[in-house]
Amino acid sequence: MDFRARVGLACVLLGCFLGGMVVLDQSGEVLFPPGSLEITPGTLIDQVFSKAGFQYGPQIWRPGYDPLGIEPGQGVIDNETWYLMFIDLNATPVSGDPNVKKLGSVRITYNVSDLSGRAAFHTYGLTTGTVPTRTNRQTGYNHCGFVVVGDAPAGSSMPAATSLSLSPTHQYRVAVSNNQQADYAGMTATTRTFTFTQPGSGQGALHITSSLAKPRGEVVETPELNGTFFVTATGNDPGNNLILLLAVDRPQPDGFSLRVRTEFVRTS
Amino acid sequence: MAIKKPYFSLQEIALLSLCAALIVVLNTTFTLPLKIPGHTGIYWVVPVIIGVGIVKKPGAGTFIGLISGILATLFGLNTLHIFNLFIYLALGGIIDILGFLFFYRLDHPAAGFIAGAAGNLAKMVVNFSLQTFLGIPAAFIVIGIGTASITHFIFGGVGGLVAALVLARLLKAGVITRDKT
Repeated sequence: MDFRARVGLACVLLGCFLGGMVVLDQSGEVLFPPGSLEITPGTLIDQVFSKAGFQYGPQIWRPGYDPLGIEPGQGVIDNETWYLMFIDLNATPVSGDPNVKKLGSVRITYNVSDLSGRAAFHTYGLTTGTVPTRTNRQTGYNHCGFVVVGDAPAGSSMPAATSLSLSPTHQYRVAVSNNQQADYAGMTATTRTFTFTQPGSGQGALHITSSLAKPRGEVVETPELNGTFFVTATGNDPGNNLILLLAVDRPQPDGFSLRVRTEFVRTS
Repeated sequence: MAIKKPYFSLQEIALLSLCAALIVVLNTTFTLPLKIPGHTGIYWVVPVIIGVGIVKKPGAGTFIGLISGILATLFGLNTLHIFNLFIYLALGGIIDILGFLFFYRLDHPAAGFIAGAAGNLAKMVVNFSLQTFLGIPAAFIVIGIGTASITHFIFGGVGGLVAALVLARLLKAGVITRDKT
């Protein structure tokens, strides 16, 4: 076989390999369904948040390199107003030896009462060094988010909230609304820092899903005020701590409350 | 008594070892902020292809892979530690095989592109296999594997193209020859 024929054959074989990988990518969820799930004993946080936890807003965006929209799948929408609350989940979807990473997921159990309008959940993964802060993809391929819709009457105001300022350095220092309890290791600091290094950076490493059969994430909208969802991770570095963003699209009544519990789920 | 001639001459071993060291140096000094899977292949495959293209002996790529794998393990270049060896061996081994199949004409742009792309893809496959072996569920590994394959292919191919151009210039300048004399 001469040189040209060998080059041609190698091109064909490489093309077949690439095609096979694309097919594997598309059918991976069917071919490799998640195995048994094992919830690691122990709740990572179990805290209740009130209306006073909404420390930011009204605003139309959430932090990213460029401002991200809040409604899953949508960009920044001018005529919306959202109030934001950041919650340290004291959890990461990675466990085990940090040098031999074992991916799992974080199960978030929520109970909301007196919710008015839409509440959108997003997540951020805090990183170290030059690695950009992770977050779930807002728009485009594999975008995801979790929305709960309530029917309580709207409140009159959100006195604790002030608008978050756009940062020219693409770095945001946000206050978390957790109770600062000493029994949660590393939870005594009141702020967390998000760093975004380039357009689109950090998106796509974390996913929000209601079922681990869809680890790429999905957009879920539900009227269930009590439920669970998962934060899954793909990619090389999903971050070492998760921050949950809860955004509501109108002032909440005084009786609003949100209970959040987090657990690590190992997938085998 | 006839002295058995070693498979690689001293000069060849020195050249291959330098190529292996160059891989590690490039990996530590070049940190492109691309955040695209496989982008390091654009410079990772270059020393391997040049080494194989100059020495033109089966095993040259594997030798480079072995030495660079040992160096990468010692310097802790990524989180796989001793398993790095398999990644570098796969990269060198596949370029070795393709160099042999292409009659060591790796200065040809098409051959260089294919060798670079295949080397980078072999690295990806071994990397993913090791991660599966270490316990990451396959369902997570295959997410985005199509896109990752295509980016590995492109960046490895471009690196191979660069190596082919360098080899062609060395041939033209008479630094190396196409056939052994």
